[in-house]
Amino acid sequence: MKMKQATQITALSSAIMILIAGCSSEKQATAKTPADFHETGLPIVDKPITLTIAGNFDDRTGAKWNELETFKKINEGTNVQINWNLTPGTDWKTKRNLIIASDDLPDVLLDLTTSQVVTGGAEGTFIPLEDMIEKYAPNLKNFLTKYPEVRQAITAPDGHIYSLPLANMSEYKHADGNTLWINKEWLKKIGMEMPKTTDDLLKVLKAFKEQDMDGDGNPNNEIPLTGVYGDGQYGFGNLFGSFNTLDRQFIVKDDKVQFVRGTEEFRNAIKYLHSLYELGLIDPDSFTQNSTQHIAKISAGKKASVGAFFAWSADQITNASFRWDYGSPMIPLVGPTGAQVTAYNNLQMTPGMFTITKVNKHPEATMRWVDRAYEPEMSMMLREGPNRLKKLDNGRYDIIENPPNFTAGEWKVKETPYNSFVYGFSEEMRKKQNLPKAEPGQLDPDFDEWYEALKPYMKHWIFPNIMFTDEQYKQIERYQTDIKKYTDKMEAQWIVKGGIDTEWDNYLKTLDKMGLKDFIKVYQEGYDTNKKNLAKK
Amino acid sequence: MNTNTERAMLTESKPVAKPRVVALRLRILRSWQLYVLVLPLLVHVAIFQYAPMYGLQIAFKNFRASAGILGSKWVGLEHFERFFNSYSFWNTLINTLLINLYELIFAFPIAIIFALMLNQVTKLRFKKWVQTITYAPHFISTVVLVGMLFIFLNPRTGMVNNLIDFFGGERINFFGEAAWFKPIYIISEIWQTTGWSAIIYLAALTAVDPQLHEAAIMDGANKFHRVRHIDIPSIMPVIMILLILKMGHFASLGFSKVLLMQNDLNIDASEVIQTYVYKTGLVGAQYSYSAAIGLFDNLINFILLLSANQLAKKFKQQSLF
Amino acid sequence: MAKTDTFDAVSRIKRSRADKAFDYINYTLLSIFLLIVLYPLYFIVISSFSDPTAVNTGAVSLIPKGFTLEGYRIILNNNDVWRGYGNSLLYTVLNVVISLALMIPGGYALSRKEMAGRNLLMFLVVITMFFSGGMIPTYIIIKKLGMVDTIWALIVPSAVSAYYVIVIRTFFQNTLPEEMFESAKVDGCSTFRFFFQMAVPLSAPIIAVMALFTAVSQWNSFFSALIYLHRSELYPLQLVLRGILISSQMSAHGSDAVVDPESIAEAQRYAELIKYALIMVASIPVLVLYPFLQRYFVKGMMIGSVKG
Repeated sequence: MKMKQATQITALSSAIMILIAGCSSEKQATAKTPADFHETGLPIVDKPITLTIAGNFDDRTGAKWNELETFKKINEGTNVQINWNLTPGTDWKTKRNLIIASDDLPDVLLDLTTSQVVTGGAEGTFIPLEDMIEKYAPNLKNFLTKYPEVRQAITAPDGHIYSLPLANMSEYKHADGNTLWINKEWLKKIGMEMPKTTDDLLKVLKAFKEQDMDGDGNPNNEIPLTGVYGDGQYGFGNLFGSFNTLDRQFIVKDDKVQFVRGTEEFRNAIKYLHSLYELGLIDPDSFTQNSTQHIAKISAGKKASVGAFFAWSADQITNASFRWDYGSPMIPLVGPTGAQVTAYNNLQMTPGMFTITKVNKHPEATMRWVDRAYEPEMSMMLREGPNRLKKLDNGRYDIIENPPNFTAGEWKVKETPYNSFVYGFSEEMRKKQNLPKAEPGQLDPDFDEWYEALKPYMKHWIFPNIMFTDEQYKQIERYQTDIKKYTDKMEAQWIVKGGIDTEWDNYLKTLDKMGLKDFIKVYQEGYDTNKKNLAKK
Repeated sequence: MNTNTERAMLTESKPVAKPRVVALRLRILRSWQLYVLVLPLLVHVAIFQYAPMYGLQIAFKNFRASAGILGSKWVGLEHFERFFNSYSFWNTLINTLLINLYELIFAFPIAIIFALMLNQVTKLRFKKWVQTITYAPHFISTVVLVGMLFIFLNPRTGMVNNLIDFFGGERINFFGEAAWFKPIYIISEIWQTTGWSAIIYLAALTAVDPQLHEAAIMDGANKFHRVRHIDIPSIMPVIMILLILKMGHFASLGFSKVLLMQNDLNIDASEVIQTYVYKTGLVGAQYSYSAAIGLFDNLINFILLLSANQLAKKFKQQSLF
Repeated sequence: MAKTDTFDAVSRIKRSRADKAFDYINYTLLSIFLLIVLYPLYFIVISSFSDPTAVNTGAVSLIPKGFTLEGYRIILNNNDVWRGYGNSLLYTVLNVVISLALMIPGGYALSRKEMAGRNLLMFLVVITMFFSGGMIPTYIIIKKLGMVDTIWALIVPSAVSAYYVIVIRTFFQNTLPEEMFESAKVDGCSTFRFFFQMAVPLSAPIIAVMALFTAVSQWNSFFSALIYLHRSELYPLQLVLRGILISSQMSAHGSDAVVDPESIAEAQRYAELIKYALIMVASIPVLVLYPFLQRYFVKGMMIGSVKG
């Protein structure tokens, strides 16, 4: 009897305690922070805590993240230990869906889609972070102040921030990687100039096709132009700029969202591509090969066998014995109506890289811990690999090339999770690196000079990095698959077989039936809301 | 023995046929040891198959992770309607069924014929080699298999096209033409699965009574006759069961191979239900929608299996139940 | 008398001629088929020693081009691969034992006509081939059983396959002659004794086939490991190898993530380099298993032993 009473009393009192705690925590968020948590300085907590973090890994790095130099430094002296629960990158999509759907949550969940972040935020799976960023994450706060577009990209439509980003703000990354490379040696051989217009290109490719360019006695084994249809890096999208549009699903012109594949500009671009295909100037493999085969093809043999191709670089992916034949990439060609356009891209960002879940008992400590990754030098190490950076006395950094027993890629990701964890890499830090110089007379999208050269033709048409509402994501899910599939197919068929003019009206009608208008509306609404919010700040 | 009589025994037994109940009880009691043998299997099935089956309801709900399966809202047949009305529905359904039909016509019998032929081989070493080598392709991952197809069938450099060219034919862009998709799929399937599928028939052939063959030889039957009149009838029950099971997979296809072979020029011939579900899932986690499509798929499979089973029974062949 | 003799002799000659023709055609067709199957396998072997660019441009056909052991170096230098080997071996053995212990007796019982309700039970088993609760509820149940992040999650739930139960039942039904049961009954042999002392020894071929099938599917499986395991030291070989093959890694990121082209290209090159070597490493153990089990496929063994 006594026992029972006693338990009743404790139960009651603890209920009251919870009520009180609930009240006070609403007024004063710090009240619930544990006593041994430090708002500044080290350690972050007096008694060691362990956080479970689920994410994916690049196998060249491996799954033992606690042994990486970067994480050793991040953890050092914090009393925060991490229990990494990592999945191979290929299978992360499945695993993260299961983790969320089964509600079997770790303390921190890495690398989610924005749709998952917004939905999870709305459902209470992830906790809002904006107040904690303000209080406990000075590095990240600085970064977000410097780059308001990043803050915008991680702010959900309900005004909360549920995730922290991976962001590479190197400015040269605004330049589009999808560029056209042409064989300068071949041009010399036929005595033609670097093409300046789409017509020039056609003439050059025709000459490439008709003559024995590689000098093996067979005029038929050269490939005038190749690429990977539908691919962002190796696709034919570059030529869309000459027709006053970009090869994206949606672009924004004068605040109006456009579905590119329903426009006249698109139609003209496809007609031009078909005229190339008809003359046998485009490699038929372009529609069936993947990027691996594409790269193998442009780098095969001792002599170049390809006249022109689309890629983000020539020297890094073609064969060492002829890689400089391709020289600098072409600036955008002038189209029939005088258009000469390239994209001003959004910078490299994964908005949903780091979320704190509702089961996390130490959100403040977690925030302070992760902020250490946003410390500028640490962010640079996470991006470039600490083993590749040598700090000089003048505060600048030398890049250390890979030793012979490592491939360049293995070397780069040896001590860092690379793109599977957060960092905030600023242009300022990039400028501190002593970057390798370009070959004389050669440019590459990896160099600032190339970005400067493209600047005059850049249009701010790219749809911004934004978060839609939960409801809007549902709508997008509904329309996306069918519309993408149908337009992908029709575009490929029109390039190969032609007939875009006769089928155009029917095509638009079919798209309407698939709900294209509503699909566009979702994007327009998302864009408008975002613009309004940006103006407010 | 017969399903119907048994069900009748189980259901209509109440007051009408008491002696039957007694008989049934007696039968169960007498063969209690059989129930002990099957019990672990049933427990396993109950825990790992039947217990999770409440999850089927998400096909009729709007699944939200935070609400859980039971707490999510009912939406009735909404997801099914969306699938039936989708642009891709008929195309994907027809492709799925057609590819399965071709597999049934070509791949299924080839494995049987191969097993029968191999069974007649008397040189043991040769037999062992053939068996082991033809079984090996089963272990080739889809990525590599499709990669090899790309290399061998490339219009410019592929050896198949080089051969066609050598014999004066016109080079074929195999992956660029929708009409070639299904033949390539089936032929590579035969390459990969024949040896593996034959194993079960080879095992069945070990049970053929050698005395039957001896008697047939005495009667002057040659090898071909013996294969036809002894070997085939002996493994017929196994063939029938595998055929029925095959019908139970008719609306499904392993999707990764299709997906890897797919491109925008052959998509009209290559989009199947599973690749469509995969793509829908790519856009977002549409659990309920994918679950509904999966359920629809399996309903077709189940109906086909039951029909095949009934047919087999009608023709006095081996059946499932 | 003499007439029948000549008739016999003629028919024997005829028969042996027909048999010779049969053998001739049989061996020829099988040899052709063998070569067709063999070439791509050979191609994989030489490709695993070749420069990936040469492989992808169709330059490799009969001998390795640009000989390299780089693919093998990467795989075999990875300690996880060796641990994965050990894990996979253990999981495969355990899974085969559990599978056979559940499915062979079960399949046998379901094949016996005297068992009342066996068709209903069979039906219940067959249903599981078509209707499953899906990944999430299965995960929740396995978690409730405390199996998550243990090896049991890999070897127990996958131990029963309705498909194989059906095949086993069919075999028992068709290979154990009815007279055997009759005589056993007369001798007063119990069901248990009959099953263990007669049925099992006589079913070596089907047990061998089932052991092979379950072993191979366990060896090749990675999905349950992916879902149920957190600790990477428990990963089976296939999951480790999947990790190494990261070509599609980048597509795992959200569609809204903009990634580095150079990291994709580098990852792809890496994947190409090891693609073929990976198959060699992963499949040699299971390839060896089959010839080993083939000795249980001896013709007429079952019937012979019944009579003897």
